[in-house]
Parts: sequence; structure tokens; C-alpha cells
Amino acid sequence: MSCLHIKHLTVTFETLMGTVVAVDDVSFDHESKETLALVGETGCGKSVIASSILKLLPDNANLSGEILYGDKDLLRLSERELADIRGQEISIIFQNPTLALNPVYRIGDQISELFRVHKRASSKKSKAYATSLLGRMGFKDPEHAFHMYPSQFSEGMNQRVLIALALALHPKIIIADEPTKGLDDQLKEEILKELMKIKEEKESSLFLITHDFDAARNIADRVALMYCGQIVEIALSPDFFDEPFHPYARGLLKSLPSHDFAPIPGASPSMISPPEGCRFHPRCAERLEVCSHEMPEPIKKSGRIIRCFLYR
Amino acid sequence: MKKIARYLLALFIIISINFFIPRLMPGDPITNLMGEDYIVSQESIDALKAELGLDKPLLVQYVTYWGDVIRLDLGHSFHFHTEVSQIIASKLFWTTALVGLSILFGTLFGAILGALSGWGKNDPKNKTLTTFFLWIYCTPPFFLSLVVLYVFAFKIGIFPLRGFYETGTFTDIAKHFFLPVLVLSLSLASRNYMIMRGSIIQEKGKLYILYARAKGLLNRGILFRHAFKNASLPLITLVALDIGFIISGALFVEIVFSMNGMGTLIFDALLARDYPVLQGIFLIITIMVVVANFLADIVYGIIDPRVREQR
Repeated sequence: MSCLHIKHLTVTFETLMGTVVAVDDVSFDHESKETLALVGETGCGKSVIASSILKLLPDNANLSGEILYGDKDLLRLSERELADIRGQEISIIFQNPTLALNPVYRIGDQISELFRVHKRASSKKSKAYATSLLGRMGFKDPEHAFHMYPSQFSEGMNQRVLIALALALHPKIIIADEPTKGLDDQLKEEILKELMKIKEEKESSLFLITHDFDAARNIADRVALMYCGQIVEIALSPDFFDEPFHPYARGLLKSLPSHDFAPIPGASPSMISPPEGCRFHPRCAERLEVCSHEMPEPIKKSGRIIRCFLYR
Repeated sequence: MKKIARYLLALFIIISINFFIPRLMPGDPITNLMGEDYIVSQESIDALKAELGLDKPLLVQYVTYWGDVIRLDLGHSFHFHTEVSQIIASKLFWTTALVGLSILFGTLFGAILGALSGWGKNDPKNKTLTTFFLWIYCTPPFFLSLVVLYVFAFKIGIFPLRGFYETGTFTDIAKHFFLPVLVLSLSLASRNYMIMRGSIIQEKGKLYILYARAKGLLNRGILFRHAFKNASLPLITLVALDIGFIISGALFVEIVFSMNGMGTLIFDALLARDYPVLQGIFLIITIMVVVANFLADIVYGIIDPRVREQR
């Protein structure tokens, strides 16, 4: 059963340089309890999708399409209705935990705030909740951690705090926007393990946004690959990593140090004036005549969704 | 601790400078005291010098000076013919009340309106408010005083033009206080509005604001629970300085409204070249500024943990 349907989501930004199409006609379903990894290079629009789900985009963003959560279209809810969902039913973990926490409030108060806002809990009760959460997240002295400020914690510790916050109210969906960016490998593994453990426990679904293929391979059930604002392939994780369909996916896997270490020629196109036809065709080794002037539509093929003329 | 020592050192230096400045001035203190038109015999000059303690070595004078400062003895005014400390004490209360009230209102309204304006959309209402405060901000307070005095006291006549004495009833005092407090509050509020507005606009784009929204807080909640505290940091120094200059800050406004306070006292003392009075006032002002800075430091530490750690 799916808990989130994204249908024809398009997000554009008005900038001085022109209109940026950050997300272009993206549709996918997010099943409940599954871990879906959205992968792609920096700047391809991954994080914009994450922010669109909770409508956390700046004022110059235009959104169209539908994001269905249960019977509600999140894009058409009022700010008040959205506030009830945010943090409680759908939570998000940002990639810069130290900047995401308010520097002038204690860690514990920032966690307690969640219980105060959503559960109207008393300050004593929410303090107790927050302390026990900190204990669960591996802080040896939760009482002490409660009284610390974000600037006194390391990046990894703050990321744990953000994870604690994201899981606190047993949300249906957890969005993790590059939660391990900037952390060392060991910490990365620990954080992901922690995240998965609690996610299983609370029966939440995880929408992981990452450019780390190893992380996606290790924990994701399904993988969605994004290129220049579009999703080009969605497949089960083992299928995707064993035999990627899309030429871009093949190129990416080949470019990994563990494989051939061979980069894809060319650079990512501009999002203001993307190439005509298939977005990837200028860099594609297997391009057909049709690719340069016609845009491939996503089609279903052997249990995957793929946007490429090779599989027509 | 280190900070306290630094502030004490600053106080020591300031009070010492206050001792040396008049002694570095050219000319003889006795001539200065008597006026140049008097011809006085050498014996009388010597007698006067001995009476004032000016015949003693500088070091002895310095020690005596410190003793006087500690006993709050600021000398004798030859214009008002009383102790300087008494004159200042009699004027201090009303000025402190006037400026204190204005700082209170100016900070409260300026900060809150500025925060709301910086947070909200740039709609016509917001633009009007900003234009209004910018206009006030650019107007010197004494000119604003003249304008409101002309309009409300002279033309409309609902407020008194002058004649403030400290013995009136409460409504009487309130009537005299209203216009000057209004002018001072407005001019302080306009500055605080601008600072707070800019500060909030800067905070608005930060990630912790977005994250607060992602946690499920509503707009006003994010502004007053998260953005306001961070944005108010630049304001603290300014408000502290306002408090430091509390006794001299209203100089022009007091004169325009003929208020019987420190501003008028400074003005009169200047015209009469009453050095002991001026010296006493300057000493108090500098001490207040140092103390206010010290308080600002403490408040910073309370609000921002990052400042506390650096101690």
C-alpha cells in the first residue's frame, strides 16, 4: 500500500537569470514502510522534491501537480493544516544539522518543543520525553545532553538530535535529505544503522535523498534515479545495481571507484535552458536519432519505470 | 572575571583622565575662577590656592581627588553656589524618568514592529510603516520636538507649552511628560525598528527557521520563538548605550520642552562655563556608559551560549 502519490510534480523558480525548472513532471509512489532512495548528482532537483512534499520552498517557487497523502493533496492544504502534518506525520532530516538547530536554545528544549506543539504536553512531561529520546539516540548522559547547545555538539551528535526529532512522534513518512553528508564513513554507517533500526521499529517509511550509492544499495528497497529535474529510472534496489537500464544509470555506476572509475563525458546541463529532446542525449553513448528532438515519456518495463527510447 | 577586571581598569583610567584634563588646560585656575576682569593681590591668590588645595603637590591632589570621588563629592559650583552632587541629584530623577520611559517604549515598539515588518510580506501596509519610521529616523529629535510642540501645544493647545515643576499632581506630570516622551520614544523606536527589521530579514533565510517550520510551528510561533531571540542580539548593544547616555541623551528635547532636567543643566552650565558641574556630569556619564556596556556583556552571555563559552 502506498502512502504518498506524487503526480506530475513540477517546480519552477523565478530568478533573475530566468525560470529554473528544478523538478519537471515527476511522478512516483512511495509505499508505506519501504525505504525509497532518490539518487542523483548535486543540483538535479532531489532536495526540491523533498521540500515540496512539506511545502518548505521559498516564495519564488511555483508548484504544480499533486502530492497525495491519504486523501489530502499536500499542495492544496492551508498552512495550518500543513503544520499539523509537519513533524508529526511527515518529518524531515536536513543535511546541515548544526545549522538546522537554533543556536540560542538548548538541545533539550528544541526537542521538547515538538511535544509541546503537537501533543500540547506539559513542560515537565515533554522534558521527560525529550530526555528519554536523547538516551535512546545513544547519548550516554541524556540529562547532560538536554542542557547542551548545538554549538557544543559535533556535527554527528547534532545529526543524532535531528534523527531523534524526526522519529519522536512516530511519523508515517520520514524524509532524510542527505543525512550523512559531511560525516566520516564510520559515523555515516552508524547514523544510517540507527535510522534504519528506529524506522523499522516505528513502522515508518523512509524517503532517503542521497548521492551516496553505497548508502542507497545498503538500505534502500527501491531506487529512483534523477537527472536534470526528471526521474529517469525507478527500480528495486538489487535490480538497479545489478543491471541498470538507463544509460545514465550505467554511466554513473561505471564511474564509481569500485567499478571502472570512468566518468560520464560532458557536464550536467543548465536547468534554465535544458537540452531539447532527452535531457541526457548530449552525453549519452547510446543515443538514437529520435533522442535529440523528442522527449521520452516514462514507461513501465519489467517492473521498472524508465524514461528512455532504448526500451520503447 | 577577566572582563570585570577590564571594566574596572577602564573606570580607573576614565576617573583619572577626569582629574588631569582640567589641569592640562592652559591658564591659571584662579584666574579662571575669578574672571579676567578682577585684579587680585598675590596674597589673596595664594590664600585661595591654599584653600582649594592647589598649592599641594600633584600626587597629593590626586589622592585627595580619589577620596572625593569615593565620597561622591564632586566639588562646588560657582554658578549655582551649591554642591555639584546636590545639583545633579536634584535633576537626575526627572531626566531618568523621562528617558527611561522613552527607552522602554522605544525598544518595545521598535523591536516588535520591526520584527513583524521584517518577517511579513512587503505589502503596502508594511511599506507605509517603514517609510514612516525612516522619516522619523532621519528627523533630528529637536526638530521633531519643535514640530509637535507647535502643533499640539501651540496650535491645538491640548498640551502645555512649558512650566514643568516636579511638584504637580500625577495628571499634571503626565501632561507635561507626554510630548517629550512621545518624541524620544519615536526617535528611539525608529532606529530600533530599522535594526530589528534588517536583522529579522537576515535571520529569515537561515536553515533553523525552515527547520522550525518543518517541525510544525506556525508563522508567528517561528518569529517570536525562534527568530526574535537571535535577531535581537544587535539591538542589545544599542539599547545598552541608550541607557548609558540616559542622563544626557535628552539634551535638546529637554531644552525645547523647557524641562527641568539634566539636559537643561548641562546647557546652563555650558553657557556659564561652570566647569565643576560639567566635569561632574561627564564623570557620571562615562561611568554610566561603562556600566551599561558591562550589563550588555552580561545580557549577551545570558542570551547567546556562544558568547558565554568564549569567556
